Amino acid sequence: MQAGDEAALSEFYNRWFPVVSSLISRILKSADDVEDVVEETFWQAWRQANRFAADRGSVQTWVLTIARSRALDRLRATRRLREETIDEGNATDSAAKGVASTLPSASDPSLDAEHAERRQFVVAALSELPREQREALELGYFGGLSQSEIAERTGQPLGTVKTRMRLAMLKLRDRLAPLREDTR
Amino acid sequence: MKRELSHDEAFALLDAAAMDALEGSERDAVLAHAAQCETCGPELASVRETFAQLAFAAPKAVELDATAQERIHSRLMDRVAAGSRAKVVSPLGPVPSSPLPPMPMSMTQERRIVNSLAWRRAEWIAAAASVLLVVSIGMLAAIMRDRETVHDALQAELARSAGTRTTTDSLRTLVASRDSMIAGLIGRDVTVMSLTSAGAKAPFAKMFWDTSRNTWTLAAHNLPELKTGRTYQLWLVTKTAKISAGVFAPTNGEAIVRATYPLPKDSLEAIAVTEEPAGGVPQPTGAIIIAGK
Repeated sequence: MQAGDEAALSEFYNRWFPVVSSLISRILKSADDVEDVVEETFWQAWRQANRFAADRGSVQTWVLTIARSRALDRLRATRRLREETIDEGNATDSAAKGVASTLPSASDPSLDAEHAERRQFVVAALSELPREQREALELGYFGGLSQSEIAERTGQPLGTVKTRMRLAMLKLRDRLAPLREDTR
Repeated sequence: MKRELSHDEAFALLDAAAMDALEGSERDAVLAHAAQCETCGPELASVRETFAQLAFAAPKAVELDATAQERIHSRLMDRVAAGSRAKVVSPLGPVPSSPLPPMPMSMTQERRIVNSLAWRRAEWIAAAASVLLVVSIGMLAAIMRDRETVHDALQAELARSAGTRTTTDSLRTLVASRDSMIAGLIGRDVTVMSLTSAGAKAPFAKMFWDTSRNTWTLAAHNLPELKTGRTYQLWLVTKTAKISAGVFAPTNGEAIVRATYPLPKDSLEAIAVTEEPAGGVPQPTGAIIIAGK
């Protein structure tokens, strides 16, 4: 893809579409927005392929970071358009969506085998976290909230939120280490 | 001005930095520290890798089925093709000196179906397609150049103010808008139609109908200035209906109009622009300014 090979882009698209579209769909409500942002993600990946450096991280992290950033950009733009702050409407829906829909259905037969396996692994790892740690992670990752905003939303001191996220991250890092090796 | 963080301060902020949950100078300071710290640099990369895997916890995007996947892929490849062709189109010659008009904003909002069949089409006259093509290629080149300008501005803004999202979001939206417009002009599924007039000042236009994306892009020229309280209205005419594709006002006689409306390929009978009262009308009442198919 770095050489401008369009066939490589198609292959890249087919390889990463399932998880990219799932992530974006998890963050955004509107189907139109989801479709737009999926397209934008792969367009940005294509245009910036020459900036990717394998020694600085995996392709997986690179493309998923683009997808999440674009989705959160759209989420924030939508909030501004509606002249809303981060209120019960968006972020809480995101959080609820995560807790309610992520954990109970780790197995999804419609996913391809590799995606399904990874999903099962990550959902299992998340389910092992204490609820408040999981909530902090999901508000931050899927809701795009800063640690201060998470503290405000959950009514917890900022330091507590930071500690929860750090503990959660350390546990996840250990638990998900086998997946990281696969993406190298 | 960036405040330097101690190692402990920076380390404590790595999680937030990896989630892109820091803003402005704090984010810059953490990233600057991580870039030169043998502990924080690898730690930040590791946290990012860990957080990225949370994406797999997201349930399947039920709203995006195989058809949507193919549709997005098709649009993506159109944009790639558009990007490649931009390098070919630009050298063709000078672009029109008239400034690119601002993009109308109201085109996808008004889609009123009207049923009168008594609309005359006798005045619709064909014109020299080669002249239109030259002008439209010039406009396309201008759009592409405009797109690159906006893209460059976005990159500069990203570099200058990583923590200020408002401007970069706007620029990204503009870049995406230009990319989408370029794809709508020269995508593989685009049908090009000419709209002409018998009027003395000879307004004319080209319509680019992207049948795969259901987008319509009208590039109009030499449109007479509107009087106060009047507007131009774009119509998609089928055998059974005249569909309003929105209202617009030209700048210096020029207009680029975009609309999204799904229509079967064989159902389009004609395209027309009429002059109507401000705000538009559900059924065409005014004079046909340009029309064609």
